[in-house]
Amino acid sequence: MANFNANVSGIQNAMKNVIEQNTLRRNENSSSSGMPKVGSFDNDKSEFSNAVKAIDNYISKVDDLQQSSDMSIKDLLSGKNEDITSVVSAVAKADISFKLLVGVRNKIIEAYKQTMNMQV
Amino acid sequence: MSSTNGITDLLNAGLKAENLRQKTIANNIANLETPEYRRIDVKFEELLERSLGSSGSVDLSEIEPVIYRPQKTPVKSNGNDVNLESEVGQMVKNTLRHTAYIRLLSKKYKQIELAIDVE
Amino acid sequence: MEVDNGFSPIDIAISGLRAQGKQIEIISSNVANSRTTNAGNGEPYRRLEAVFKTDDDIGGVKLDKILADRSEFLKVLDPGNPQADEDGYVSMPNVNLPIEMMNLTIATRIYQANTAVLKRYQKMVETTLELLR
Repeated sequence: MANFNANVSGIQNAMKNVIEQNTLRRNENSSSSGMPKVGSFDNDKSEFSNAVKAIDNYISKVDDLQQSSDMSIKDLLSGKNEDITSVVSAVAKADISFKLLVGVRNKIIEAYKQTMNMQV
Repeated sequence: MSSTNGITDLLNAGLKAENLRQKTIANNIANLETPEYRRIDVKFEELLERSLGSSGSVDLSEIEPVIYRPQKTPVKSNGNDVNLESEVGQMVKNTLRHTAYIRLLSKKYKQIELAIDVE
Repeated sequence: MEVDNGFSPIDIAISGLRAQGKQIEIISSNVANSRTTNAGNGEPYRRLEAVFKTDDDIGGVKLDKILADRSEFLKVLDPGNPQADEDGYVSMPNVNLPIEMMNLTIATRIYQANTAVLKRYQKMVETTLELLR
């Protein structure tokens, strides 16, 4: 049975790889076509790294939410906290944020695939 | 921060315990008027809490839900200590917990499916 | 009175059910013995009343004590009765049937109200669990 933590870092690594490869590819394409490196290109690169940082933050938030939802489930099981509503709210929060994360990951992978399919 | 038991294993153990508890409640209600009969219950939450508290992780083979006689309720004149309203209350709680565990398990499995599917 | 336990509405409602169950038990004893002229010690049956108090552990209700009604026995003129005293009066239990019936109605209503609380609370929690579907 897959450990959830492995999934989160797996997603993290996958996305980092995808983003880095995209950035690398743009570098190669620019210099091989002989066109001068435009100043705006560097801005794009920092936008990418900002996006990566934002996604990194989001991933750790999702991980925290998953942690607290697991904790509240454990409390419910061991009888420490019998309040079902708090458990449900924690689990629902974690679930929605996780679904958003997975959606973002899928979009990025899709975008990468489309980029790979582009005729140059 | 990896736990030795995924939350799904704990939820499954909880489900087992609630199923057992359902049987003990039915037995109690059936013996409402039996002389010298004392009500039975299932010990699971305390065992789990004790295990979790000491190490934070749990060896589930040590925690089996076990049937026991609380011997705490007052005894009527015929030696019987079963109270119908109390058993009904226990039944309501048992049903709610059971439903909660099942839904939580289902949510967890769906999350794993989501993470696996790329399409 | 602490109410930090998520299932306490269930416990409180159940304690209400048990208390009213006891109340109805007392009422039925009074009604069944409303004509008992000899309750075992030469005296007629003395009406019983249940006193309830708040249960501090779970916030519900608990039976405090069962009191005997100290009002006077009813004296009924019946000279032909072998149990009549020298004036021809027989002492009857101090049970007043209309009052017992009214108490029975009240107790039943409270019992139903407690059951409604229990049912509604159960529905509420199940609705919350629907969020997880």
